[in-house]
Amino acid sequence: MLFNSINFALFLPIVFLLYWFVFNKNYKSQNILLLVSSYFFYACWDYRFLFLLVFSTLLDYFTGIKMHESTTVRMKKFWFWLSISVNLGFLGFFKYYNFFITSFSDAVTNLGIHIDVWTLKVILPVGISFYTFHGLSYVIDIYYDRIKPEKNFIDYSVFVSFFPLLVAGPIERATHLLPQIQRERKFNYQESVDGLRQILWGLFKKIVIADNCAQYANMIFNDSAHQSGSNLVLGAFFFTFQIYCDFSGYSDIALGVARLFGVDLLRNFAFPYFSRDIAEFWRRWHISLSTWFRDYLYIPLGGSKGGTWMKVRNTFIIFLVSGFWHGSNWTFVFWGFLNALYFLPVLLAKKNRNNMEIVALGKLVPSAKEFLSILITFILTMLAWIFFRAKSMTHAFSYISGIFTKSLFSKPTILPISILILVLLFVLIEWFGRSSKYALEDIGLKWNRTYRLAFYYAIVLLIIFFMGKEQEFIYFQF
Amino acid sequence: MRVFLKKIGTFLSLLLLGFTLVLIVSKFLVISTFNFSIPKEKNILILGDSHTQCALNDTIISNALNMSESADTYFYSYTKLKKIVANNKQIDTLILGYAPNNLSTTQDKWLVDSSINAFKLPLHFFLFDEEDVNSFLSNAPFQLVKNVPFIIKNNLGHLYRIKKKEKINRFGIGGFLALSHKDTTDDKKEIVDKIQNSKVKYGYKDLDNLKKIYSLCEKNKIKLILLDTPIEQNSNQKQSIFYSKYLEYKNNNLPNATLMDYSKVRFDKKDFADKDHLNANGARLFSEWFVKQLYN
Repeated sequence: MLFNSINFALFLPIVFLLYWFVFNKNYKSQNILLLVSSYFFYACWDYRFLFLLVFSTLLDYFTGIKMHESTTVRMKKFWFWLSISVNLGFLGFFKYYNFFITSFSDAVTNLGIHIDVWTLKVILPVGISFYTFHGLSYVIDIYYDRIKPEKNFIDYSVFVSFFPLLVAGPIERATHLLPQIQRERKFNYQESVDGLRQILWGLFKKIVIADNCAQYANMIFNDSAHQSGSNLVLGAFFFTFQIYCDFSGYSDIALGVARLFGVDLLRNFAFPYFSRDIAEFWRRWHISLSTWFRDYLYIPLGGSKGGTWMKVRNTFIIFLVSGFWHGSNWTFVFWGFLNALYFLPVLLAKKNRNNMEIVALGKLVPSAKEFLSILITFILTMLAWIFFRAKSMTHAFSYISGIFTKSLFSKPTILPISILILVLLFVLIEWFGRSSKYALEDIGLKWNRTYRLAFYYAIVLLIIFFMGKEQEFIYFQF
Repeated sequence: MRVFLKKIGTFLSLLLLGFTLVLIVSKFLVISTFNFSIPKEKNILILGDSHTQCALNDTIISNALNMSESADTYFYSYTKLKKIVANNKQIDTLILGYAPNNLSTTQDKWLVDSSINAFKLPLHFFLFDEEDVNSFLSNAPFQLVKNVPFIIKNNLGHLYRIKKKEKINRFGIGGFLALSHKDTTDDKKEIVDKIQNSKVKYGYKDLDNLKKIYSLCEKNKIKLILLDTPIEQNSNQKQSIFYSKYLEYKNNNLPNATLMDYSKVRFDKKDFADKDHLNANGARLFSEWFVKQLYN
């Protein structure tokens, strides 16, 4: 069930009304409703994989309790490693088995040995990377005595499976989400209206910007060998906006939907394309994953406390793992590697915490220096996205070499003006709303009611009339 | 909570009301300004799906107008026929695509297929009268709701074309299509596989529309010619499965119609664009030959 589908448009109001009017006696019955709805939501993708989700939930629930009850360190470690290995085992099997086995087969074939390998012919269970990371953070936090295990299975299951975040995050933490699940939730008018506004903005990003950009990005990437340099630049530009609007649009919808149920989810994006350096970009892009890796990988590895070598090593590790998390393809690993390379000079110069505040705060336009920094960061990011989008490393390198030809200065043959105008409009709205949690949060709040309504209607009409061809959310495949 | 629901309800109702109004007004404007008149010398109307659309070149058959359109079910042919006949008394012959596959359940599936309707409904909606709207609603009510914005968008496009005095076949609701040549080797393999795996069943929903076309022709004394266009050799296997039913249906339900079955007429492979569509050259040869057949 896609967030931008008729099915979800029916599903959401039904669950909302049941939640606040039928199951409103206490939070426990609301949790039961949320769990049933979440499982139904997941089963709409593929009911066969529901067992995997339930199994993963059961595993972490029991190992969490067992770890806490363990009287010896040995037993605690046993339950901890059981949970970690089974969780990562499932993830590895479904997501990386084919990659490793074919990479191995290719490697031995290069040595002149031919082997027949058995590859997995099943689709990747939707959301497996996200709910596995939910479970892992929970188990790790219990192991290090940061939290106590949740005794109520329903509450814990809602934490893992809450439908707005189930298939593409944000990756929640037990310390943040579980307390909200375990308390009474009162309907809050302002929060709900704000939630709807965030859903509206998420839909605009996904349906108007991402889906339209996707059409041109696909057209250019799928036929990159026959495109001019200028077209290839445009293809990378479209993909840069596609991936941002697709994923942050999804996150906005997820956060907005959760707010309708009185739940506040972690923020996932904070206007990353207005970053002035790559460190700032990574503080603003897929925040829930970046902070996950920071807390559960980077810091345990020593973080930046050790010497320069350790900092560099840890930086490369988290970027490579982050790349690999996205998918079983060398292109993702290289994307991570490239970002680590970008990050390195900033880290070594100790400038990685230079740009902590919002760019040009309180000003209408950025300074020339800020603008240049934003532009350079954007171009570097765009270059890295080519690897993320390409089918293979060969494809990515041929794409980039295709850009740096004479045809780079020719007029692009693919120039959808209306889409470029929409992208410009989107960038302007994001710019004016950059000090808020999401662009539309404060825009128009002080306007006359009629103007404000006209503004929202205008966005609805833009969504309806400039709807791009429906594309699945990119991050569902991760 | 009640204030919240009330406000959401008002917001959505206003939106719905606005769309309904624009839909009705734009449809009214298109239908009242659309010029359905075709040149007086054109007394033959050609309707059907992509087979007839690609096979009959109406610049060669000078007294005919080809308004066939890819993936047209008899439902869409019927909506066009009603409007064109009502505005052009000179029409005395209707050539309608009629092949064994038109009798299968596939044709019924097309009536409710969301991707087919997503491009056909917005373009054709202005033609719909009450009967058509009811018929569509009985088959795919959600698709009508889902496509309202696109219908409005297309109605506005139609109004622009009307203002530019475009011809009827420039509105996306039909017109001869000249295809280029293509190597059909892979298509052949695909169709053979399909035939071996297929269980062709008799459809019924869209055949009701075929009967309506027949009745309309009878009422207006229009000669109905059912035409099966040439297809590549392998496609004939599919024909054979359904061939007897196809003849039987015509004899039982459309007795006064004339069947012109050219599906087994051999054309060179280079005259096809794919397994069952003639390309521009094939259409030229077939149209020249067809004119002679028609008058013989």
